[in-house]
Amino acid sequence: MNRMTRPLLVQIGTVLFFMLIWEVIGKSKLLFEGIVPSIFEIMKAAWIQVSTGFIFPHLLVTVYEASAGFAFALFFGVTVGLLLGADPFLRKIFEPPILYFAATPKIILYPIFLMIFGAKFESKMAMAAVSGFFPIVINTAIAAANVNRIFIKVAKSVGASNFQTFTRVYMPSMLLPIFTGMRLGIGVSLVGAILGELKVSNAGLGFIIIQAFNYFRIPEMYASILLTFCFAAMVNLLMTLVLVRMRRFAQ
Amino acid sequence: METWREKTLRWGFFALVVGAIEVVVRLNLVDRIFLTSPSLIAVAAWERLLSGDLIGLLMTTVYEAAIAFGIAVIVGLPAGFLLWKYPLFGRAYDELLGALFASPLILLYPIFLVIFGRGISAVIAMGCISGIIPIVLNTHQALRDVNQTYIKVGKSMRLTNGQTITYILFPAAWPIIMGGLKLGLTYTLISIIALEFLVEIGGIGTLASKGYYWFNTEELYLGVVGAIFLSMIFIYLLGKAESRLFSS
Amino acid sequence: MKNEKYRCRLFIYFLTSVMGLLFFTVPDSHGQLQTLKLAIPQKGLFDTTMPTLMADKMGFLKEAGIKPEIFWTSGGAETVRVVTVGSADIGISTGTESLVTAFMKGSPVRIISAQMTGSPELFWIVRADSPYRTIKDLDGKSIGFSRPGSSTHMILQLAVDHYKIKAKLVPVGGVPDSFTAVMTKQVDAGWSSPPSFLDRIDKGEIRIVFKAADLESIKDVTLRVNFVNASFYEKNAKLVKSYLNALKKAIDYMYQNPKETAALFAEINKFPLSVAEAGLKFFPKESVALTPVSRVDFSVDLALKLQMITKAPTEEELKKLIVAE
Repeated sequence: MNRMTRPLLVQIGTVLFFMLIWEVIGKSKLLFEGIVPSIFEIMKAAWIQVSTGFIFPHLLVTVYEASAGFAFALFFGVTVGLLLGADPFLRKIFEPPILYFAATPKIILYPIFLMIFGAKFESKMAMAAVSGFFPIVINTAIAAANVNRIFIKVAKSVGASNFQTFTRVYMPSMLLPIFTGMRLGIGVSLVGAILGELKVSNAGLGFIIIQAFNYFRIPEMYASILLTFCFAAMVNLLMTLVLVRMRRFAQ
Repeated sequence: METWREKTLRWGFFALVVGAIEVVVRLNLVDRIFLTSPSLIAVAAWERLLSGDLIGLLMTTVYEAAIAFGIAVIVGLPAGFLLWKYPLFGRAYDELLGALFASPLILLYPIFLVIFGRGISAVIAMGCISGIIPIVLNTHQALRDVNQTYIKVGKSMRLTNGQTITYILFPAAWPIIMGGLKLGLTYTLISIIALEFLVEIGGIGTLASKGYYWFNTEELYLGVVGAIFLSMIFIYLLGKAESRLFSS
Repeated sequence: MKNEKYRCRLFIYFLTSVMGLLFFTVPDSHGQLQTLKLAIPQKGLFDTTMPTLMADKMGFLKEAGIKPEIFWTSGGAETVRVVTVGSADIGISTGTESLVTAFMKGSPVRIISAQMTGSPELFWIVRADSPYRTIKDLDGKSIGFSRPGSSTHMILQLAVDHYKIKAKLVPVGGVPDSFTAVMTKQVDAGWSSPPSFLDRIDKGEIRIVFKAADLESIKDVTLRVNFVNASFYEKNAKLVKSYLNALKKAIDYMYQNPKETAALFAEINKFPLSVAEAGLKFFPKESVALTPVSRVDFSVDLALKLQMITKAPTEEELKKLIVAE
């Protein structure tokens, strides 16, 4: 028990230490006042945002944008991933550019989406879709390529149709990597949607953060960022738990 | 190894797409304010290149990334080492840092803007934080994976601590550390370009933002292409560096 | 078994998207009232926000058969973009030079009225403990404006030319950023718009170093205009005119009832009534008049100077652009 709890104590200690430094810096005249508000003020602002229900419509907007975008990312990601994975030739041609593109900041495409889709939800959905596409397609391609060739041969030899081969051979062995990709995909889709809201928007978590920033309501800004962060972390945690259960299932 | 055939096919496909865009724009099928022809973008790029403008922007981004990454390395490597040396902290921080790594740090950028002001220091700080986490995590992991036998051999040869580190630990841990450095640089660059775009502080990211706001479609696409181009060059160079360091 | 789970998950995502879509696209059934989408920058700023909100509050918009749907932007060309892509029909309070630029680049916009003529309200602040008393003291120092191409930028450039000083012009962003930049000594002077930080001036923390109102050359220039999406205007010219009428009524009402105006102003921004009343004094009625749109040549020159456009619009083109009375 002791070995287990000691790291936890260190973690808690670090967080407390950090909070202490924060308070000290805030109270000292080192930085301009208001830039580092006391943790208490931040917590209070966060509590107000949650208890008055202020944050929930915006949360819903962001989730909506991210989910819709993710749905697209999932569909296209899996489709393209399957194509690439199943056909080594296509994969050799297209996988490297996809990998390169995966490491670029997708936010740079945002103005293009703004122009095409307008300033409301759709441009953020596009951001979410593009962001989420890459982890999914990459994982799917690898998964599809690694499906045991023998199983495929066996399926073909017993006269399975393409569809049957797909559902009975490809899908089961690919499920786990695809879900790993999905987990990453959901995370980046969410972030993609929020990033879009930070620039040109009228609603959503990113919007309230930037509003607070623009009106110099700094404690509220920190509060919104904190809440957003917690939400993103929660989603991540949820997906990880799902993944763990999937792993057990796959065995 | 890639065959020439695959390379040419890939470039051919790319050229086809670019050509199609050119045709679509020239035929006025799309409003010029949405999409310009690649040739016009190229012209704009050339003009800016000659005026030194474009180089200046790219250099700003590279400069920011270099400093941010430099700090990340200088702080990150020893930090990872310390985490290995003191396993209690190692276990504790591994989890914390792992959680941070998976979270959207870029969303914290208003905080950096507020603390560092709307300038280059905020961008560098953001880039630094994005890059430092994978470096620390990987360094720690790499050192942990080093086979204990090597260290024992070092001890039996009565090597000093410094010698053990230089001749045994680092070479053995290097591959994974290198992976961490690669990740760190990638994340640093992504954060920096993203921030340049979101806050218009300079560099190639700002070009895209400005192009959008000032109705300058050529500039917009130049910024977009430039940023993507810069990322790709970085990754390519990193890959080359990695393979060269490995074969040596 | 695993297939089921995967399909199940896919279905759930699909369902969420569909439900979300339905939730947000439930049609607006408001009978006679037509929805007018407005893009308004800098929520809370007096001249941008008040006329429309007052018109709404007093029912002038309803009388005109309009239900407003407001998209708040952070200013400048963003407002124009929101209108050109159709996310809003009418844009409020944007720099004239931005409109000229958008138009020359082929964007579908039409100027429907003036919004701010002259700049009676903008002022620049310095720290109280700094040695700068007038703008001439800022020779060789750094001065902040909001963003390139904005009216603050333009006014600052004019001021620098007029007072013949060499200063470093630094973009600092919005009013709060500007304040922070000044207080943290990142710039020596920063811009501000009332009533922001007027209370701090009273407290002696900061000091006004110069006012845009001191510049003669811009007194009759329409710095900011209201505009409309051209295709929307073609189909709904009457509605647009009704909206402008409602605005005019609201502005008349605002200046006839300063106490009520101050109260609404204070409410929107959540600051004390005294601050709101002090801020009001900075906006004489003539400056927010909707007509005339004057001295467009000034904005054209600025757009040329900043290389936003490469050639000036012809008389014909200007006629097409400006549909205001």
